[in-house]
Amino acid sequence: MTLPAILLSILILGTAFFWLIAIDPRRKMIFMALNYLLLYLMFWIIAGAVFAHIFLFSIILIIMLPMLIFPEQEKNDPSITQGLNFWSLISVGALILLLLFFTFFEISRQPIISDVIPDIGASDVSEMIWIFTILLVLFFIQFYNLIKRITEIDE
Amino acid sequence: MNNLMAYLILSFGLICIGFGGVIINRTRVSRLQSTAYIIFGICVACFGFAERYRQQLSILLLMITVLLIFTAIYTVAIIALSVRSNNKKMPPPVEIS
Repeated sequence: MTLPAILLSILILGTAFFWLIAIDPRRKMIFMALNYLLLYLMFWIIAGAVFAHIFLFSIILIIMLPMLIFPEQEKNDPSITQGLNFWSLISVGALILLLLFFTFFEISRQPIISDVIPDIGASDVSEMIWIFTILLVLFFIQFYNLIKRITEIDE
Repeated sequence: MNNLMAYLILSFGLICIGFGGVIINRTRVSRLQSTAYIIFGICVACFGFAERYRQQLSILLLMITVLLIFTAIYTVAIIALSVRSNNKKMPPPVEIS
């Protein structure tokens, strides 16, 4: 257990350092995403699945929220912003609800934590699956729009 | 080197990189993202100590709360930045003489 922990620590610190010194925003984004993925693995090992799931959706929010609201910063022009529109708000709301869904799902699967929070049961989770499906569809529609907008900027 | 030592070094490094990012980065969004590293560093240190002293569940609940509060503050800050930059973009009012 010690060797993977040390290796992961070195990799996380390395990617974080490269994120700090990178000037190109794309390279910065790549290093940040790599670093967060490694941190996700680390939290899965030391804290368990519940915290890892909450962390995963927090990092999705941390990475994607600025990309949704300020996509034109890719062209190094921070004065131009997309601003908040209806779809941005919907996708942010969808992300937050997805985070809650996966948290409750993991809590209901782990008896030690569900003893601490007894009101959340597996039946509540199964009733939420249809909401989860709608949220997932909304999220991927917005994600498609985001990728399309970024590729249009590149051209 | 045991696990706790590795976690503490990682945590110290992440917190230093977070503070460095707050100082070095120029855009406000990057500075906000740097503060996330400080929070993650604190989380790693707490889980390292929790593994050592067998207090996993209480630390887990505490860190989940901290992470959720940070996510909420981050979301509100990004939305506030967006609203402010939108207000800056509006043309100045025309005086009617």
